[in-house]
Amino acid sequence: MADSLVLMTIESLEGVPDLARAASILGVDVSAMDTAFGVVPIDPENGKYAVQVRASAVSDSGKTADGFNGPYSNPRIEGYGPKNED
Amino acid sequence: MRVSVIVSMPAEQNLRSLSLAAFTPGRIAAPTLTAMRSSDLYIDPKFPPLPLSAKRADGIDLAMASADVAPTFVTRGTIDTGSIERMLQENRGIEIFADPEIGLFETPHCGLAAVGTKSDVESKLDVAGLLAKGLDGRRVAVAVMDTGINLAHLRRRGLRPKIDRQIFWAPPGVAHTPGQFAVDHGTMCAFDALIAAPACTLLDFPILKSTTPGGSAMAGFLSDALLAFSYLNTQRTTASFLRKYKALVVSNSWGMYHPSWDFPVGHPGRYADNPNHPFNIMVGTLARSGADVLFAAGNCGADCPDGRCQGVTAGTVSGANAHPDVLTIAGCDVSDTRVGYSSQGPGIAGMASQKPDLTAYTHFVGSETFGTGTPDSGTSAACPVAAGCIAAIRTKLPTGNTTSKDLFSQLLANALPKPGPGSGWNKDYGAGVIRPMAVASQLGL
Repeated sequence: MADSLVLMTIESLEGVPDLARAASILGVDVSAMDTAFGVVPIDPENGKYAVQVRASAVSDSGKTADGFNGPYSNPRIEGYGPKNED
Repeated sequence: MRVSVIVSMPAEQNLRSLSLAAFTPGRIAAPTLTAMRSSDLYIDPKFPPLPLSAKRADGIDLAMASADVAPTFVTRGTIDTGSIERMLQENRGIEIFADPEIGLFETPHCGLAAVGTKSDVESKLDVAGLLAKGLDGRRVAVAVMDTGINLAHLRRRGLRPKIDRQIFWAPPGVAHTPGQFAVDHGTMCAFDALIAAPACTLLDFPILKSTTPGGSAMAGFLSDALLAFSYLNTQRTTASFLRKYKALVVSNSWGMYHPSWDFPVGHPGRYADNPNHPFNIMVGTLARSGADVLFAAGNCGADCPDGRCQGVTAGTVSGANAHPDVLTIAGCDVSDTRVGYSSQGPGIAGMASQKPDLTAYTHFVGSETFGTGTPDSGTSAACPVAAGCIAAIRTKLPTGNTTSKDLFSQLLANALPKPGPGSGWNKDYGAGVIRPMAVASQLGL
């Protein structure tokens, strides 16, 4: 089964961290990071960023640790209107 | 603020005459009530004084309830709330009572057929009045977070849409062709935003076209929305954006239909009820930065929920759709009656409770995206209708002058209230049906 990606948040008050720094905060190898997703500022004033990581590289308990939180749900979303059946 | 009141007055000859004239068969013309007690009180001349019987210690004397002998008469009018005390002091014997709006609890609309047209929506929103005030959305950006926009279809439907091709984000694998996507849900939303704000500039964010494995034709993943919001938040502070636009309105006609799409209840990474979920943090950041962020309430109303709700109709206003910093939009038809699929409050525990906030129009013939005569439906249509109203108001109310929070408060305070248990917010309509002209007038625009 393919190793899925999970959504995590990291904290860094030293500006936008690069992927290597994000991996270091998470305690995973940089090869586990989703490079296409990157490091996404979600509340940069408070040093909060989102990343995606291979699920196998992190615990799935959802427990908070120093500098990071997750994994978080990444549910499917759909429009609240008619569907085009074409 | 003027309010409707019921006024009781001690009997006087002119009141008896008016009452007798109104209620005696064969007498048509009633004399006008001229005995205004104060210019602060406006008496409704079409409402005849009604004789009120005398109250005795052992009950009510019904014999005293006729116009020729009644000791008191009641009528109705309006008065400024600040004048009530003085009015009572200056006029002995007068009493003033609240005359609250009452109405039937209408049956929510559940049929497939459209109710009304775009013209009806324009009329209800007083778009002509907005345009006369110069409130047309010019230099306001409206981001449509959806399946992408088809400008050619909008033009065929008689609109003259503007789009900003520089500010655009699409999920990986999706063509970078703003304004040239297949005619679908996003085109309907763009059409509906342009009803009240025909001169706004559309920003195309086709987040529901994810090609992530498992996605469907009109679906994406929350991480797509997260990336789009983060990109937009970066863009809106650039010098170029600030030079071009006075304000940013973000319309979101999407959400999570069923709890099974999320982590289980109690998981700390769950989305639906978790203000610390990264997307909910992101939404708060964008809203605090000055964007007016709107979300549709959802289509899981108890009367006729969408099949994707799988029968779950409680606590369905969830996730960012129940975020305290966004305006959550329920849907009604052009007769101001809730559509039965519009999700009802309160918001899910953990997020804002008083959701939806406000109601806007849906289920009318508008974009005809899905075929001739088909309605623009779902709270998906209501959300951009409201977004267009906000964009129109923002034409002369830049974000720097009035925050989202303050503007949203004005929208709630000036909404057309709808009957419900208790006063103020109710679970079906929030504060009521959107009335952009009342807000514009209130703000002196």
